[in-house]
Amino acid sequence: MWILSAIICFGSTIGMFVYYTIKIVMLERKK
Amino acid sequence: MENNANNTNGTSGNESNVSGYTSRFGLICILMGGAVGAGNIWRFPRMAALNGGGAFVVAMLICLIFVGLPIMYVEFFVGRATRRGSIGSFRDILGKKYAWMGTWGAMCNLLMTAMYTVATAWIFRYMFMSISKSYYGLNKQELFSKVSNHDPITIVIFLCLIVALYFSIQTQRIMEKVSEILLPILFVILIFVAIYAVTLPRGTEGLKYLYNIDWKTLAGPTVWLNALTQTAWSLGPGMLTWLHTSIFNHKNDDIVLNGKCQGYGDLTAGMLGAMCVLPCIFAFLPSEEALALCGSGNAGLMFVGMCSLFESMPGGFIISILFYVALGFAAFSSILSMAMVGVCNLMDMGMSRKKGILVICLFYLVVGFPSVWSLTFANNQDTVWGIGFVVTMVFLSLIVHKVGAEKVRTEFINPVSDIKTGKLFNVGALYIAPIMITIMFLWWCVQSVQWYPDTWWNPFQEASLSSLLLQWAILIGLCIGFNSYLCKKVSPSPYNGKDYPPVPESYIQ
Repeated sequence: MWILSAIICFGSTIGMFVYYTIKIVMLERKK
Repeated sequence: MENNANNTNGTSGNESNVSGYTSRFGLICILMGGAVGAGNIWRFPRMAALNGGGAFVVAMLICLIFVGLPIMYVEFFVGRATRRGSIGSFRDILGKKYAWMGTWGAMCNLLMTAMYTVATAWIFRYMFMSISKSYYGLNKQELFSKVSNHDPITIVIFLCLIVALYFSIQTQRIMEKVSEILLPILFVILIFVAIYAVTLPRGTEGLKYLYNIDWKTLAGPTVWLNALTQTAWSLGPGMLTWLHTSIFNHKNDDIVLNGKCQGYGDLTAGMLGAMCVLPCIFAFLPSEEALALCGSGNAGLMFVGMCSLFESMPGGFIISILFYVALGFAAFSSILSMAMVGVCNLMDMGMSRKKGILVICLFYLVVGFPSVWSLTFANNQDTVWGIGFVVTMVFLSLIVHKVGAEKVRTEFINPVSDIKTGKLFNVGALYIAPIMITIMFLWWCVQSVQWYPDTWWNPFQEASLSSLLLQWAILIGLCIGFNSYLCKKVSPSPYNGKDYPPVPESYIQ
């Protein structure tokens, strides 16, 4: 159960961080 | 100047395309370096452990979305739209009689940073003690008491930090370079220590405690208030650091995407910090003792509990050095951005950047010295100005009321942003943030009565309600008393209520 919670909590936070970082990198490459 | 001729969105062109930052990476490193501080490592794990683990993380995510990010966007807007420090910004948007609000925010930041520099000196003192193994076998409580009360070596480290700060913020480019070095090292160390901690025997006990969502705790107010406090103290909306960072931004630099990266990066660093600390504690202590340690305060956990663990755990020598290096880098990178709050306001009064930096460093030296001399004074500064600055978030919300949330969002934030913020920003900045912050502020005041139920009325009792009120009243009195003088002293801003003016020449270095 705690593994599921870890995926939800840590996964969503780090997921968002990685997602926005990749988005910035992609946008910078386009420019 | 040639390197600054590009904005951090990558376009180049005429004079208005000058930016104070050389690259978007540098800007994000400064933003994240400022946000990721010691609070991510020494406070987040404690708060998570004491407030239902995963439930606390859920509450923090919600506080980040509804309070932290909207107020941060407001700071980005204000700094870039006025190209002035907090005093000039509040004066030119809200009116002359409200400029003291900007002075209040800047002063809270300055007073808090002076104490924070002292805390950073403690961290580096422990790093050196880890290298020399000099805390091994000693009573850790007595040792911390010695280190935090007029210890000569701590005083020398404190002086060295101020000198390092002086040279690190001479120009935005140097600041960028320092942040670009510190931040990646910090994340690499955190990841390494987290992997080590999680793989300890019983290390997963800490993870279970961290991530097991106790949904019932979300029904009570405490977890929300603690999550909001953590968001405020860690990410720093209302600390005015971001307002001053954005003065140097090109007028087309992104706000929303950079802000989200910064916000979620800060939370990620907090979770990595928790993954370093909690598995270590739970691996070596029974659950009750581990929780008691988490409840012993930031210093109790970092300088007493963790020291004892490092001494006894396998590989503790290396891990302790890495741990305190990470903690020190996190703290120092935050001081870099926080120091600019004072420097920018002095620059608005006609001082050169170099002179402003010198004045601010001397201020930290003089005001921080009592904190390095006495732990009681340091604790007082931490509590009084740590609670006091959150009021600035309500003041920033007043700016949104004055300018109009929809106008701020559609005319100032979204046009320059790679991703857009929705109407959630309006609701968050106009209503949720000020209401939640006011409740949180009152909750802390009530807590200060509960800490000292018999002496809360005594203004000389550390952290008592009357002591807090007295110190806030003195500062507000001074801010209001000097309001007219400061309004005249700060040069007029180019704020026009329509678009972002270019970065002033004096800020490009």
